[in-house]
Amino acid sequence: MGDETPQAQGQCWECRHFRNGAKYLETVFKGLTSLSSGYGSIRSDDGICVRHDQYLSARSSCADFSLCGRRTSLRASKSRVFCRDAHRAIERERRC
Amino acid sequence: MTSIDTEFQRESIAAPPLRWRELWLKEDWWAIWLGLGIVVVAYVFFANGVSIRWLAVTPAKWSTLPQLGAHFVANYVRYIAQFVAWLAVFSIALTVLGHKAREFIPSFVVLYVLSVIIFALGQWDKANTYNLEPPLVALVLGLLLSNVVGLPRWLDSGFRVEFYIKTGIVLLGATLPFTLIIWAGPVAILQASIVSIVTFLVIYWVGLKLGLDRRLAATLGAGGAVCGVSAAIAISGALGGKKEDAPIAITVVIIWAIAMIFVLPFVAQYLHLPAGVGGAWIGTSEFADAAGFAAAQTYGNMASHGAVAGTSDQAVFAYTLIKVVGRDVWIGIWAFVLAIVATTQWQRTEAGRKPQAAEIWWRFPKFVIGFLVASLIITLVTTGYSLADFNKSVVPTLVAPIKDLRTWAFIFCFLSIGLTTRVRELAGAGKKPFLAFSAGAIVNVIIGFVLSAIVFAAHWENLVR
Repeated sequence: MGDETPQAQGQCWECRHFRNGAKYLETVFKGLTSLSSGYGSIRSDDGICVRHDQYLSARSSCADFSLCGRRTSLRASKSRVFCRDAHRAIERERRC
Repeated sequence: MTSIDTEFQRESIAAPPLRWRELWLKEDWWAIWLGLGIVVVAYVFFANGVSIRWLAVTPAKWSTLPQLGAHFVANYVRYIAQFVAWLAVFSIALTVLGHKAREFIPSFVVLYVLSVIIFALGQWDKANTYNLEPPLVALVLGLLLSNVVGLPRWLDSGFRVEFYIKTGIVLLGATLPFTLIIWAGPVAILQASIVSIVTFLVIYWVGLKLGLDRRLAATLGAGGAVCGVSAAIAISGALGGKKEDAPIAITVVIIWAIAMIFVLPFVAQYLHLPAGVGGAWIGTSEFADAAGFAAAQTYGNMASHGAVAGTSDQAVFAYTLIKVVGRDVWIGIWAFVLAIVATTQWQRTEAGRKPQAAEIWWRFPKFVIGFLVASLIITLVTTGYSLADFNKSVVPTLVAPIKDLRTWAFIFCFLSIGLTTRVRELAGAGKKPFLAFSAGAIVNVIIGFVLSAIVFAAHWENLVR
């Protein structure tokens, strides 16, 4: 981790294995809404890596990075194009 | 790909860092906008010689049902107006956050009606005789409805524990003089820091001795030392813990936090702790903000009934200073420091990153800013008043209505805790994590008591006196 972690092409938030939506986390982490929330600042942008079963920062990275949708700049990635392409990638993965 | 994945659109399960969009996509900021919005509107009314008191209606004290009925008949328009106002502001906020209005609205109707009943019950002149404290009644009623009766999952849209408590805390800021924060804050920070560090180390050390993974032990430690579930998920994320770590911490925190809501106020009363001392003890012993406020508010209510020495405000203010100012605000630093330790000392994980100092801000509980600003606003605009004038004109027309709205927000929160806690659905924590956490919780309670009731007793007893 840290200095030793391979800095791959992108960060987790761009990766197809990463899940950090607030509603998604509230569904996966049973009981989260009882005394906390997926929408709080304190959580920052953390999410779940379904490849490594880790809960980690959206700014993390690893050697298994797999770009979710087409490669875009941060600015462009804020558009729905990023998410739409990512969703299609997931659908393809599911069919496989 | 999990079955849960297929239930969500991609845009709801992965998103880039929010950055400035956090201002409208995190509930902390919405709590600030709503809380400060109410404070500013209240002040504008006050400055023009009127008050928001009409909207901030609450059930009056009653001893017979006809009395209570007469109150509602006379004030039903005010209740409807208040309901519509809450519904409007919460609907806007939650819709922007991504919730569905068609789910939130019926859910909030249920929440508001139950809240009116609980509030009214708390105003019964015999309520104290039967220990019918509104926070406890709300919690028990919510737990019964969610675990015995059963509620459809979509109703959870309106049961936003954190959102209501954060909004309530911002409103609380308006009733707490900024000078008091400056005066009492350092002691609160000192006391909370001692308790937090010791508690964390105990949980972490016991966890390691029991063979737990370092990241899980640290996640549990933060849950017990800082701010419960929120701290646990923050630290787990900062350390890149296993996916299972956070649910384990969530379970043990919920079990302990809910048990302590029922235990702490009565033990404090049994020990004859003054309201301020009891509030400080609850602040150092409870983990989650919402659960702690339920306990502190209960103790404050005991004080207003004369069951303990002091005032309701002393209990709530002492709790807030210890919990919010003394513990919550430091979560970013905990995350940053632990991330450095993890990256330099612990075994590496598959995915990770370099710790960044910016994390202190990313994870800062932003609603605290609203709490401080609200306090500053009311303190500044009332600076020129003498104490007599303040009590005669400012309190009833400006401060009291804000306090009443804060009480509503807290009742929404307490009820939501019970309504969203489904015991059967909680993840199995396992004996070792539970033991490790319990060790820290017990030490936490003991040290908190020594500091609150012995070392700093005079400080807390004389708060806002």
